[in-house]
Amino acid sequence: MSEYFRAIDPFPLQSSKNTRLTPFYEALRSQKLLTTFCPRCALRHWPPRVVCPECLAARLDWVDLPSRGTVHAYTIQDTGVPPGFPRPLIFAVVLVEGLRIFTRLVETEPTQVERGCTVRLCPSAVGWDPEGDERYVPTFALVQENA
Amino acid sequence: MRRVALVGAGLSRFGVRAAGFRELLAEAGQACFASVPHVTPKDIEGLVVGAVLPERAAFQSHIAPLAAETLGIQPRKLSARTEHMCASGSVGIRYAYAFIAAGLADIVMVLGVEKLNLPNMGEAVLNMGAGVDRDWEACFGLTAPPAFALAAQLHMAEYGTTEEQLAQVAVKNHTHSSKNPHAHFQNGVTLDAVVCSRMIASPLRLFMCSPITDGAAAVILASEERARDMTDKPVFIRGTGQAVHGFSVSSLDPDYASWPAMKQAAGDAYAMAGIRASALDFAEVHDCFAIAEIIAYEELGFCSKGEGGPFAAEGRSDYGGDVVVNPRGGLMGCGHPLGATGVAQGVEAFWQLRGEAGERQVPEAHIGLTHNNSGMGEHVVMIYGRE
Ligand SMILES: [Zn+2]
Repeated sequence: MSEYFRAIDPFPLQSSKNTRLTPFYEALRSQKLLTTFCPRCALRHWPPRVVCPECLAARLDWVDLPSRGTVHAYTIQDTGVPPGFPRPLIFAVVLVEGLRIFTRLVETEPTQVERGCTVRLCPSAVGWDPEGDERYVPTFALVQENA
Repeated sequence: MRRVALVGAGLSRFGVRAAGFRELLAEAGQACFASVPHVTPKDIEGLVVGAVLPERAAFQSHIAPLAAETLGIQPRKLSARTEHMCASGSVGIRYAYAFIAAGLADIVMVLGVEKLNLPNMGEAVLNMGAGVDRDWEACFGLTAPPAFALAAQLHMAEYGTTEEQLAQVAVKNHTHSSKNPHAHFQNGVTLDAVVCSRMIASPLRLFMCSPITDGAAAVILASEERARDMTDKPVFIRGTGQAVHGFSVSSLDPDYASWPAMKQAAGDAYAMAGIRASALDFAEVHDCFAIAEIIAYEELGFCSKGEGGPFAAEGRSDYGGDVVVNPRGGLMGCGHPLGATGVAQGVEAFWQLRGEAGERQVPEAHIGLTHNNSGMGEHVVMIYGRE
């Protein structure tokens, strides 16, 4: 017990043994953004759901989302960043076809971020799960033509 | 429904404490019993404990029986823990209130307790991420400051709220907490120091944020009939409201500068109490970040939407203004031991309404409000009165 022991981290388990959202994460690995769509409500969700919050249907379809969006709001965190995350952290709410996607911007110069600027999906690897499966999260990056 | 009153209240000192989880709750419990000599632990029929992170910060769940055993209480009508992130304490008070109002218990203690500071501060910061959505937020490194910073960014863009107005809220609350011997910060702070303090999450600087604090708070609630036997100065719960509109940043009400869930919770509480905002002598609001207090002025009806910044700048939320907001120093001045905060707000209401708030006493305080949130879309409002 002399070494620090961490049993769990802030990253979701993504393999099909652990979640029904595995198709989302598999698409993310190939740089594609999916979300769930409820055929009964004709409603796209964000984040992807395991049950439609409007009608409680569990049979949802996967649909593609564009990989570009615009920054609706953002903030840059310099201090108080949790261990294991880079400094600074650039958090943003990105609008993708009317959906609000909370995310982090990576590969981006903080001073270049403005409301309304265009960002693209840029998934980040966050380390393996305890069974050795690689995990990704849906981060975005500033599109350079903004600059 | 029966009327319900607070009959006793007590706090531990708040701060970075050389004390464990059990010691903190014992300190608040002792202080609470000391405030109401006619009540002993054996009289307590129910115990509700608000606590958020003991599983991570103290490797401890099973909190309510632990607290009961520590204080020599043997609950026979109600024993429960409430966890609702930063609003856990107020949620606990609502449970106790409902049990007593319904006649299921006559005397219930509500404790709130949190031990957040750890030898490894990185771990303490990481733990705060457990309060946001792990799958879609904490996985990016989100903790509370950046979420509220988004609200500040939009409030500044939509209404012209300024960094100086945010800083004025911080100065006010630190000035108030300098008169509070239980507060984490008791030295006050100047406007210059606030605007020059280091950036946490733009535009929120260090002194515009509540710190990571250890502490505990306790109140005892009783039915009106029993309360009159225990004290000459019961403090009545006059109204309460709670509303939850969304959990994750992506799913909240779309304009982060407006918090309709707070307006809804406040509206229900005002209606239940039969009062308007203008009747309030003081309000303890959830200033986890300076922007939250500015938005609270608006959603609680102290001023119109967008006028929160000037409301602070003109001193209308300070002594001598429209309503004294955060006389104890709020979360920014007192610190924010998550589960303890809502209970500590109740403790302040108890002291203010009994005229026992010392140097920070609001003159002629007859009725006051507490507001506790656990995110921009989740709010609890309580109204307390002398009668
Ligand atoms: Zn549906």
